[in-house]
Amino acid sequence: MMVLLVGVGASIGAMLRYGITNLSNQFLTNRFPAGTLIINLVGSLVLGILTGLNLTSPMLVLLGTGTMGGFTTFSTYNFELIKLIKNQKISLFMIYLLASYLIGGLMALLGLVIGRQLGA
Amino acid sequence: MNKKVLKLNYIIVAIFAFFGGISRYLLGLAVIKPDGFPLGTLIINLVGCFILAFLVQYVEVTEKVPEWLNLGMKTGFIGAFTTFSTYSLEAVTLIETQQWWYALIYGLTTIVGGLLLTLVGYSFGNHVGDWRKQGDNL
Repeated sequence: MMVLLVGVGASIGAMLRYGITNLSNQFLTNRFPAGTLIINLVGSLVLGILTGLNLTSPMLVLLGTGTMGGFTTFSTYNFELIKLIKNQKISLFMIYLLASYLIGGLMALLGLVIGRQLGA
Repeated sequence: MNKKVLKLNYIIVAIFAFFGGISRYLLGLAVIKPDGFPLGTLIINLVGCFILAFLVQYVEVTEKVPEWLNLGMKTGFIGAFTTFSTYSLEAVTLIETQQWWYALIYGLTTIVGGLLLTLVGYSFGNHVGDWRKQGDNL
């Protein structure tokens, strides 16, 4: 049962990711992978909120493990980092690296705080 | 891209992501968390980096993988298999519970390991793609 919830959630999350990536490729220049950055930061925030909310286990598995897990991505992020290095965009590489990890962590923390407030 | 193809692409991504997400969940359950260290996510993310880079390069060299399979495996399966949000949350939780060493080790292995395995996957994909191509030309 939990396995199915994760699968359905991941499908929804991945479709959202695909849609946002398509949009950002349309409207933004190809130089900076803003789509993935936004996806990973928003996903970290939402997962933090969901975790802080103290949801029932199936709900958290569907929305957190499934949807947010499928929405955010680590592999594409790293591939984009390496691409920036290969294209010798070292400052963009540093910005992308630091922005993702530092702001990603802050977003998760902020989400946890918000979720705990709302869930209390 | 016309509307019909785009709609079909979403369905392909969804189907492959279904299995990518389930694989992540099951692997996460199977891997023990030594003393609370999030080893499962670490392994999942590093393996995913290797596979994605491998696929990108393999597909580029061989030019043999159909577009739908390419999209499904990369954006769908591997995209949903790896996760950034869980990493962020776990890293912050380690800091919150003052497990400083674990937080540091988790952060460093994720950051350095992700880049390293992407490079290794890239190079493997290149070589295997070349072999495959040469084999076909014999």
